[in-house]
Amino acid sequence: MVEAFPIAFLFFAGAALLALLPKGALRAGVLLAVPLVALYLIWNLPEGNLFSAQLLNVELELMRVDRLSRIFAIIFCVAAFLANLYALHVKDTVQQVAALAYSGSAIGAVFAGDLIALFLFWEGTAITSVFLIWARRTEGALATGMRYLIIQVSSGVMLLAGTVLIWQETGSFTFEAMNPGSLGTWLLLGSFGIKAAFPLMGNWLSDAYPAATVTGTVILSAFTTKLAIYALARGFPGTELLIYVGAVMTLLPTLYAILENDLRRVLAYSLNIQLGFMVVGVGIGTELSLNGTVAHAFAGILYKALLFMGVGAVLYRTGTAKASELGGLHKTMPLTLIFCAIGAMSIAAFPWLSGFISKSLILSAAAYKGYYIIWGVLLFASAVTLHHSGLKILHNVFFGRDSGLRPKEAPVQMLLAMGMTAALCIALGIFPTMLYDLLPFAVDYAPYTLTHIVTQFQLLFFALLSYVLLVKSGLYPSMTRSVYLDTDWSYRRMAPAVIGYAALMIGRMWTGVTRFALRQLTDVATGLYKTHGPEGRIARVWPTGSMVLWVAVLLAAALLVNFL
Amino acid sequence: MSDQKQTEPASPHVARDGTGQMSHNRADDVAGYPALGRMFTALADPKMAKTLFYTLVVLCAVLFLADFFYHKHTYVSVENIPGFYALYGILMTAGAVLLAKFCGGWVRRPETYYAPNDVDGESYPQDEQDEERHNG
Repeated sequence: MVEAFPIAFLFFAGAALLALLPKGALRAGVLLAVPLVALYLIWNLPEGNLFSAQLLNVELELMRVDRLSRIFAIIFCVAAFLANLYALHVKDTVQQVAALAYSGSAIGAVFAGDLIALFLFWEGTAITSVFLIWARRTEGALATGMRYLIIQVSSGVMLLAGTVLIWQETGSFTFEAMNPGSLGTWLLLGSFGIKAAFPLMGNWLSDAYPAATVTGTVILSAFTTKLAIYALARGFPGTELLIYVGAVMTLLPTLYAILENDLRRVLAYSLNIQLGFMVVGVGIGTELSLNGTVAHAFAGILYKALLFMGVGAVLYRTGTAKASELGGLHKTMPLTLIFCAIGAMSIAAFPWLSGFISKSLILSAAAYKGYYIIWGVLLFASAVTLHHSGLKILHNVFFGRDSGLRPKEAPVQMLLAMGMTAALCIALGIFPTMLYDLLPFAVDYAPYTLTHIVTQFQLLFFALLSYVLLVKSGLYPSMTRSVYLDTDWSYRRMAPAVIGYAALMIGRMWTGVTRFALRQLTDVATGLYKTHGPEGRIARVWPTGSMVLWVAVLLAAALLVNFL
Repeated sequence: MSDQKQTEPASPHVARDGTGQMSHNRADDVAGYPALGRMFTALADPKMAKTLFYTLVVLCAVLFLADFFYHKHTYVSVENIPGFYALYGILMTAGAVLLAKFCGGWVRRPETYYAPNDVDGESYPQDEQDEERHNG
């Protein structure tokens, strides 16, 4: 079949074409057309393994189309389109090419039917995305990008190692559901876990995303982590361990999201929390919960992109995204405020917005299966999300203390992109079947029951009340120009310090030992010189006398032995 | 105003990006602002704050009482406690914020802690932004 070529190649061709075209309208056309054409093609693809290629002796399945891969590919195309629209003013060739190649790699990885193809595209996302961080072109961004790249590539290396071990065991490269048991599957789970920002493995997320450019962060927020969620949903559905891992993911970043000053870092932490919801859904492993994971990834890409776009627009206009420096922007950036508010209400899961219809699938799945503690944790995480991802951002950027900044409203292409994303957030909330029809399993779930709506409003309005009371009473942590140490401190400060200290100590010990040895050797040599040297005591009777005497002694001994 | 002075360390980029110069340009020329912005300005007026706050309190009270007037479909036993979601919402979020405030001091460091290997201490590059302003 001719039209069933790997969709990723369309993006790569587009990226290559970009480099040849002159800057301006033609490039903009390519950036917007490629995701749209891809979306049209993916929408109309039949299911099945549509395209395979030979690499050395391995048959690569490059187009495994089923309901799970199709919905991820669809939302990736939508996200790529919206992010490219948002970034239409960017003239930097590197960023444009990286954006297309990155989204193409992510779509390629989603359609990969075997682990080798998955590995190739997996590394593709790592290598292309780092340019969105380096595009900031500062010393700090270079170092941050390097840390990001090392972690992303090690995830790929683990994937490859796991693939080889699994192949040894089963003789097959096919990427399908498995149970963690052998070393190979654990390596795969670890590799996915790094990209999905599991606890202690995911600090690259809050480290790297705030370091990218305004538009780069919007693009980054959509693909890498959701690709990992896809891989977990495909490879490890129903792995109970993931329920607890996901629950921890929804808790730990919360404190940092409350404290952090850099609002794009706040959003990165809150992205990590949203990933926690999805991981719990994978862990529960029922049809409802897996639907919930996929739906939440779909909705999450949109509202998270919308929030990153809003804060990005503020950064673009004022040069800072720090809560301590901003305030009072409602006067001159009202549209950005409205779009941010829609994003905030979506992520906080207000009824009739996208987060509500996706998050509730996972919460209900947890309650149905009797994971009551997990249910309570998720309920807490979704209430406190309103605080840090919604109210804190809206309050500190648009209201609060007047910073005196009076920036102009965001440029047209940004407003368009934000408007379209916001419209999608609302549309999904009002017409949930639009999303439910695309999910991997048939959905028998009604999000809008009276109980659900009333309880959700109770949860959110009382969370809102607690925010207002905390701010009024001055108990909410104040935003100052600080950083908050997270576990990445262990490899950014502690490990270098330990290694530095060890090197210093080993160096000192080496100097000590060599000096001691040298002194001993010198002593021996001087001692020998004293006794055996030309001036020494032994040298007085040195050559002939003692020689003859010893020869005589030996002769005598030999004779004696012979005689006996 | 004094607040802002405190939060600005003497790092070179602050002077460059012009926030210092911005802050004494406080007489708002509201006419140049977008219409929506003027509407929000009216809403954000300190006089409105009290009204908004009491509206919120009333809304919360109504929502809390709503629990007594309809049949709740529940799956988890704690849901049957009247106003469970309301209490959970206010207590847990407040608890989280206070815990964060309490623990924050241990992990707080100045912005330049990781410099120069981090972007926190840097200013955002000017060629990546487009600072258009109504004032200055």
